[in-house]
Amino acid sequence: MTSEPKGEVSRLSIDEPLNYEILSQKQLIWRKFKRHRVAYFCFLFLILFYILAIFAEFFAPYGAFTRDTNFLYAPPTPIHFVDEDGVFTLRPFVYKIVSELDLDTFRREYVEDKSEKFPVKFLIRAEPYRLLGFIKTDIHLFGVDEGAVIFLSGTDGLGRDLFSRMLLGARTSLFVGLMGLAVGFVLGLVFGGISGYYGGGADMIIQRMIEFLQSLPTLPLWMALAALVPPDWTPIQVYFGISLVLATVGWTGLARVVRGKLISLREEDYVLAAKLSGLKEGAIITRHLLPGFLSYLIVHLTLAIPHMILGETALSFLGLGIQPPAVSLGTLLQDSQNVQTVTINPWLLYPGAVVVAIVIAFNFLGDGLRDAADPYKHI
Amino acid sequence: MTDLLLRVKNIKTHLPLEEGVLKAVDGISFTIRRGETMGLVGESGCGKSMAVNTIMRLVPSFAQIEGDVAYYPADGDPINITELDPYGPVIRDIRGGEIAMIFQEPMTSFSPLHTIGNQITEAIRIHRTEDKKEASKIAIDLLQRVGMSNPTQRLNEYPHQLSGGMRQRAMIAMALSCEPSLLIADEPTTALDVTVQAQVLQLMRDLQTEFGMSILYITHDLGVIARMVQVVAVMYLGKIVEFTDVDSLFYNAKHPYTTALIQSIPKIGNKSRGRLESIPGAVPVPINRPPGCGFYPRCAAAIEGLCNRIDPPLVQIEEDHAVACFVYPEVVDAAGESTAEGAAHAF
Amino acid sequence: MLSYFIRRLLYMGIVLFLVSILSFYIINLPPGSWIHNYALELEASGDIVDEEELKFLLHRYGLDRPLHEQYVHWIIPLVTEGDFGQSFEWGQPVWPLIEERLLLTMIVSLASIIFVYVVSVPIALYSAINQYSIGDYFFSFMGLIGLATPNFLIALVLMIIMLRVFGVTPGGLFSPEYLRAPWSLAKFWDMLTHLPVPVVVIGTAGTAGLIRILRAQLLDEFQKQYVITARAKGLRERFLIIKYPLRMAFNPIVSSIGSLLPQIVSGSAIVSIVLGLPTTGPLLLRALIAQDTYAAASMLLMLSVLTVVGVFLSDLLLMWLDPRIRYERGN
Repeated sequence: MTSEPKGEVSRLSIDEPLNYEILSQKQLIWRKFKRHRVAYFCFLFLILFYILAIFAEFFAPYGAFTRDTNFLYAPPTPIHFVDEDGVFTLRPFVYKIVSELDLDTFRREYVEDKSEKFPVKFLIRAEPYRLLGFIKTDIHLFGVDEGAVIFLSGTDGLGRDLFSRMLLGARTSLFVGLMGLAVGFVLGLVFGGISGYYGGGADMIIQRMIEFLQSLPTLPLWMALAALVPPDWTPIQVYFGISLVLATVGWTGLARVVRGKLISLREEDYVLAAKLSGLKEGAIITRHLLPGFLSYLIVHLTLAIPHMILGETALSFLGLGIQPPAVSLGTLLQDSQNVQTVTINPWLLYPGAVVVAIVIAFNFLGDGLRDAADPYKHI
Repeated sequence: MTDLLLRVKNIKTHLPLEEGVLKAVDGISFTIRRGETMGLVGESGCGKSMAVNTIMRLVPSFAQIEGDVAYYPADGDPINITELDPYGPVIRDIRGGEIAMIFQEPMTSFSPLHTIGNQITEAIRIHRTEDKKEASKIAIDLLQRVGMSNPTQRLNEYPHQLSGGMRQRAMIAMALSCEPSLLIADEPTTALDVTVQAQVLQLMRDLQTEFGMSILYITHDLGVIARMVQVVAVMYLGKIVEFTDVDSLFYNAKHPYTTALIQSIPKIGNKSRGRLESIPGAVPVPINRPPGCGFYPRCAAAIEGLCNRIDPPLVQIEEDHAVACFVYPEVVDAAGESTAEGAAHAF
Repeated sequence: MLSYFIRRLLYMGIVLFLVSILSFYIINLPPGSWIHNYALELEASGDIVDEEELKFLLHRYGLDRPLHEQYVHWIIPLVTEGDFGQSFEWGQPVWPLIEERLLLTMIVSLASIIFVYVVSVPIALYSAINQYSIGDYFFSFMGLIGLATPNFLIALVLMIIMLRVFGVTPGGLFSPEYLRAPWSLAKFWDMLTHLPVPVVVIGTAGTAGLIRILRAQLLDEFQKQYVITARAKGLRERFLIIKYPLRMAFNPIVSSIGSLLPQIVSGSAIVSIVLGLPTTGPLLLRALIAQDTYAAASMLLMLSVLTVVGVFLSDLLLMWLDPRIRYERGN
């Protein structure tokens, strides 16, 4: 380094041993994002959640439709590390659960039979299933031997394991959001793009259309659209139908963002400079305009997913969305419509907690991304 | 009554940011006498606005302030402004009443939701009279004096109904409404058209003769300095690098930065086709700055081994002319005395 | 100004016209009709359905005619005489069926909006002034939870708490003795005592959202030059914040009614279903499922009228508040 010729550069580099690195825009954003602790944590949490949902059958100890009529509305099974004699074992275990009829209230009570311990076994062979829909296997992450049960978050009124159903339901809810988003994204990009880039009459019409759609009360509109889905559709068809319903109403926000960004970017001097230097229109759009608001798109998308999830949950809760037997977090919450039942069996609300956690995580993630992507903000 | 109006002594304004401490103002001192006009000149980002905001205690609450700003009222004891509660009654009396400010952007300096009259009389009613009618009268009189036609009607107009030049006139009227002893003008003409600039500058000169207040001009425009001020402080990276009267600034500049600044002024009648002079490099961001003179990386006269190790102090080398540059032996001597110990390490 | 006014009114008319067409067509989009559903139900319960009678019913209700004729048949009397048509499901005119429910929807929505503003403005002001304080973090976190929790879940949790702690089942807007009683001061008071739970539930999401927007807006305004100008004039800090930034922030507050109102009306629909409120929500759900065309379309239309008129009023308020907008539209 010292052999460099004397001058501006050498003088700088002697004093400051190169503590600069050249980072690409992507690396910069990623670095800033990682420094946003909460957002980074939420990012990892969501990845974990998507993995759980994709391989739901593997992580679930039971099938989502497997009924155990001995355990209707059974509370979450307690997991123990220390037994009756106070001996600690690293491997968790459960006791056998027996149901007794309480003769005063005529309700079933579930109690532990502490005479026999059942260790929690990992990678256990149980109900067969198809991983990812085509790999035939019967290995589950965890489970207990025949004779005991392990319901991490209790069972529903039909004796189905709520934890397993939640994993499966989360898959539907997480992906219904993405599906709706993809459709809404295309709609928003196309309409917003036309509106912002061409302006004039097209802009006028599209803007009025958006204003019109935004002035409608969303939920009744969703309800009306969801009522459209014919009752004889298969769950998969309903699934797509609901995504479409969510998307038709949800694209307006994105279209506005795209339009606004395009209009303001169009006026930027560097775009004018690109035009003056004879760049073709396509190159201006892809090289100069798109990078300018790509980050906004990503942020907007991240923040739109929880909207979709909340929408699906609400519709399914009302019985207008995903229909049983298909499982989603919303349909699971249908079971908690009756206040009396929920008061007695509060674990029925756990799917709601999952919804809240997912939505919060997406919100933090979006906030973190927005801060990271903002070139004018130094964290 | 003393001749002195404001004595700024070694003020530092440091902003702790996540990347490090931003030393926006790093130890500057100067004095302003009654009726005097001083200029504070420097490139954008050199800390000149932060310096006057420190004097007015208008810096963000997380900023760390050091040093003394002594204000000498016409009657009574001097007040050390840096020791005041920034939201307290004493500083509030000084703001607007004793020291008034004009800002760069006449568009954003007024609230768009309130009438001009509302915003001018507000200041008058704090410092001069409680009476609404009297305040309006004063405001109308002032608007007339800053050359606005139809002042009575202007009072009820909103900022967006006025042109940029008119808004700045209203701003000046507002600043003068309480007859301050010191007017701080932070780039008052930068956002205006050239012709309007000239009008506003002329107006301010006239008003100064009329009101007799001191003015502190903050600007990067050497043309404004040449027209308006008597003494000049040149700022670079939070420090004053040269302090002199306006004539010797233009004809006898000492600091390499000042000479470079003056060379970069385009001259009428210069027939050579050469490029306009410019200073190489850009003003560094004053965060985690290496030791030594801030101008060192851009300086043509830098002394290797000295300028990049020790920060030159501001030393008077001629009558009424101080400079902070090791090119002058007096400065080297002064640095040797004051930082003998520190320097021993450096060499 | 007047021309702006007329333009807006005209635009409102067009929007509502489109809504009426849209909702009517959407409701009729699924195959079959209420009569068919009815026949299916009868069949399912073992009754024999007379083809002739079916045809007669279809004809009587005009369901055998093309859709656009049905639409005209519905909309013309609605506009000229205020006749909303017949509800198949209930076998009676739609208007008396929804009249009181619409009024209650309006009351609940209005109360929720007032709740949203009364709660969010002071909190946002506190959070903005004390940025990064513990209180600020606390409110931000609570806001996030409020945003992330579906309305109906909040309703459920609140009901469970009421049931567990106080042993009462909240729900409805009236005590049983006032349910069918005519309107009186006592009934009105009874309704007021029932309002808090639904209002809190419906307003939570809106409150959380508004706190977020308003806090950011206020923080933004605090940085503005005119605030520094005001401070440089020697104004008292508290007075200054109320006179300038808060007043400035009122703009987005008022214009947020435009997005808040549809949200509130939406929210009230689902919350009403959970809490059993006698508003339009539960009735709309039933009408939609049963394909009770006129009732459903009328309710959708009236809900849209509610939001569109609300947005219009908020726009007028905005003009009154902001001289710049007044100036722009005046010209």
